[in-house]
Amino acid sequence: MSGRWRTSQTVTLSAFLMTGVTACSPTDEKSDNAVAETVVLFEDVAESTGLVFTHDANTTPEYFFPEINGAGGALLDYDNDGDLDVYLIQGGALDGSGTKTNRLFRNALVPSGELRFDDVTQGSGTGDNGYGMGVATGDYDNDGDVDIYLANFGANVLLRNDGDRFTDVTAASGTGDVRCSAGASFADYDHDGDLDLYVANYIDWSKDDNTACENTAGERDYCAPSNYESVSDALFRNDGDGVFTDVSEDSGIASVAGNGLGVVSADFNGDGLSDFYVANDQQANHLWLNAGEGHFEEAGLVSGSAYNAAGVAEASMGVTAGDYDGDGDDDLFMTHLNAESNTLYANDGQAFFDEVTDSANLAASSMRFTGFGSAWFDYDNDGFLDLFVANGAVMVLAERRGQSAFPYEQQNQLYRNLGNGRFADMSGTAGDALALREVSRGAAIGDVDNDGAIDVLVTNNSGPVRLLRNVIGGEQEWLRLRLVGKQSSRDAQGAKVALRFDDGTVRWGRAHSDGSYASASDVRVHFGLGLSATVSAVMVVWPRGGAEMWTDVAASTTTTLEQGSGEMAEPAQFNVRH
Amino acid sequence: MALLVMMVGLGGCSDAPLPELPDLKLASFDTDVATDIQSAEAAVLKQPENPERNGNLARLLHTYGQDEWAAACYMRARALSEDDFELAYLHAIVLARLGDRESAVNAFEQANELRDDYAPALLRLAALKIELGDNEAARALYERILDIEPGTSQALLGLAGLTETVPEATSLLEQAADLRRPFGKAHYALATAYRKQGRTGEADEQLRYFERYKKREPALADPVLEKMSFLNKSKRGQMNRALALLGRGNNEAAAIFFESVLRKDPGHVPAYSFLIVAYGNLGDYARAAQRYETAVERGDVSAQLHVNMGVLELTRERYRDAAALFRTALEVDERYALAHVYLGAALEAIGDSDTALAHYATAVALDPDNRQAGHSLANLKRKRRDYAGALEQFERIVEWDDAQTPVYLRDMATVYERLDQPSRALAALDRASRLAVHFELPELATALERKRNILRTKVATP
Repeated sequence: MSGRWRTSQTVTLSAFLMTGVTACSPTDEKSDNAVAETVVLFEDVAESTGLVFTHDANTTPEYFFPEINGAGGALLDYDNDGDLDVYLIQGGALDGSGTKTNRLFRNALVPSGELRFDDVTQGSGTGDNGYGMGVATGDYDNDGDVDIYLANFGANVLLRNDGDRFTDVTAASGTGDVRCSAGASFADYDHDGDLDLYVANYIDWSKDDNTACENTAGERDYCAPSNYESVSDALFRNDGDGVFTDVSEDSGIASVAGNGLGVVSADFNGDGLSDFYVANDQQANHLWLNAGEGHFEEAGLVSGSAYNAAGVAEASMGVTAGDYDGDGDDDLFMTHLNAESNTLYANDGQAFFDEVTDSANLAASSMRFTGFGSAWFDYDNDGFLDLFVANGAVMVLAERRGQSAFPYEQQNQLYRNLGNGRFADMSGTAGDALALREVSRGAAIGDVDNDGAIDVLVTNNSGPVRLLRNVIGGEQEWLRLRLVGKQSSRDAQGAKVALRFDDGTVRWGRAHSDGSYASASDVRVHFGLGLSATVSAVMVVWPRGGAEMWTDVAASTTTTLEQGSGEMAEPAQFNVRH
Repeated sequence: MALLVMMVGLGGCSDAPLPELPDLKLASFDTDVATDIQSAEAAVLKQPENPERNGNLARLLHTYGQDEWAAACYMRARALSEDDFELAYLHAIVLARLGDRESAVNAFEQANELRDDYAPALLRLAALKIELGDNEAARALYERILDIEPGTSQALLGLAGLTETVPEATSLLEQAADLRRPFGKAHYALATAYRKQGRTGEADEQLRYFERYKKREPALADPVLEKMSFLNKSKRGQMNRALALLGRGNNEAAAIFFESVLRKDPGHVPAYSFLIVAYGNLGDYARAAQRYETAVERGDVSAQLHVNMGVLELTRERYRDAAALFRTALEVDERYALAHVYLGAALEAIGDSDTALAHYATAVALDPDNRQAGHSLANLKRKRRDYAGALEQFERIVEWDDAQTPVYLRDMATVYERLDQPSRALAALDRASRLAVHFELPELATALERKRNILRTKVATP
């Protein structure tokens, strides 16, 4: 086991960081500015693998508001063959009358061994032609295959995976929210063993009410969301029989309106219940703490996560939750408009957040960009959660006139977690795939070629999809867990996973497909282990049914952990709260 | 951006060639805006080394949000007029907006060398210094601002952020979060500081003030930047200018700018709405009514338009006409709380107290934070001798301490008097009196003092 691992992967990491004492071993001597030479970290393999798709926002001289917001994509193993497939959201005609549809691409890696994508939309039931924004994935009917929820401008759509094809069950399920949505999240908030659905709604906009907005030079441009009425989000309770009940009012979720875009679910205050965090565009963000008994309380302001540290509501787009500082709770990273920095909120474990963007070295480098998709992921498998940010502006005019300080097409960003509370911006030296300048929106993560390194799916507004294949992460050890719930929902979204190492240190992850912007990632839980770490035990805290422990999980492989097959465990055995 | 940095370096070198004018592409601009810029550009082309003309073009591009072009033109102007504080300051602002912080710092420092007592420049520079990690320089700048203008809330807030200990920061923030000059950011920072000290109740109170004042910031006069808004001839620029003038009570000038907006866009409903206010304030009822009628004839109406005209009728004591206008407003937007409040006032004046009460109650239900609605409802309940109901409303609206609160407390005290509870009345007046002094309302404070003296006698007499 490396010295770096032993010294930095402890649950008391935050205490070290706070006192400025960082672990010291040769590999720990990392600097934000140390990397200068280009080392190719990712390469775009979309076209070469058959993943050919171009998003059509159907831009008009009318500057219709939804044109700038879409669209996302998903990485999911819809056919349960052991490799990740791709689902892409299309724009097209605003009234859903167009011929362009969402596309499903099947990964032929298993069994062919070749990373190749085949468009299998035709006949699959997935070719929705609504004006798409976002997508969420989850096995809502507990039948062992992943279902798809589409967040559209216009009615949302629930596609049930029947194994050989998908069936539109929107009407029967009652989930067809007709408001403009971008983000959605599956989570079992009531712990009844099936996935419920949270839908983040954006604004009250219709083609007929389109406002003619002008910039300071009197030119027509896209409006800010403040020109339109905010709307409340929706919470659908899964009744277990294929029907969802709209509990937005009863749960309290409908009591507050917002310009919701990104949404993520996690247990932010460690009480064992799934909460929701919603990134609102140019408004206070919402933290919906689960009070139990089907009720939620909005605690954004009190928690310190509604505004940035200066008390300003920012143009929040995407949000991702992950334990970047290794203290056992989920922290929040949020993307914003240019001239605002992205924001990192460190959780104290009780859902009180401190904005630490500056000290993490994530502020200055983000000021020129408009961020949308974002994801915590350990791209180099060194045991620390790194960050990917998908960028692309929403105003095009200045660049068309030759002014390029804030370009419309922007490069995406990759930040490496240095393990000391700071991040290094690797974007400029990570190779051509990170140098592309496009209008990116969604980002989803997952290991599409099963080499142990996490890849990134990037979707672009009015542009081609990109698949950034990770070419270096496979050099280190890793561990991937596919959780199968019994009392809990089948895909166990919301389960917390703890790894205990030989030296007693513990790291946490969670099963989820939500977060980012308008996108869905692989639900499996992936850990980078560094070069020579030894995992002594894995514990899963199931959303329903307690905790279990396994002691024979091998590194650098994907292991399926079925609920009920491990030893009963107590989170206290892992020396941290859950 | 590197080009701009290089150009900043050239700024101080008189032998360096003059930076080139940017290639201005104005085809998609508003006609007035494009003409404005083209004239300024033509003037520069006639006399390329005239600093005033170059500065004028830079300012125009700045005010129209064309920051990169403005930066290039400021560079030229500054090269021709090295001792011009305003050019250096405005150039720095544009560079900061472009995200070129190093160059912006350079320009701000040059501006401060030319004039070291301009607080807005020092404040902007301090913020940039913090972003660049030079906290010591920022601290010195904040201290300098406090020397120039003691009690500047923004400087206190900035200094608090650089302070080592939480109690020390708290002390600075308590000065910055002065309710006489509402400052949302200071309340937020103070709430965070209290929370870190476990002072939950105080933190919650500050968060409530933050919620109320989050968009408010004490005015820090910046005449150099304010002059810029005169230059903006776009519809949006003219409208902003008009609203600012109206806010300052300069109704005549505001009306000129609102009229200018209407010339550009004859269907601009807010311009009609605010023109009614401006002409009304000027006592020019005829022009206000004419503007209202034009808007109605065109069909460019809003609930606010009808309400503003109604308020004007209310001030002329034409209550039935006012009531009709407020009813029309409610036909446009039945959830417009202010229309219910004013309709209540008109009806109350006519003597229809029952219906007035219903409208006040509707306004409170629609907008519980609307203290004007709460005050009207409480007062009417008081007049109708529903003292319990009145007190319920008063208690709700006196939760906040601001310049309105002493008036509400004074009226609340009369309810206690009617209920023969002089001690409570006195307590309300004591608080009202403290707040009247705090918010510098001397006439009200004197009146309250007289009332307190009378009540003190009552309380002392069994």
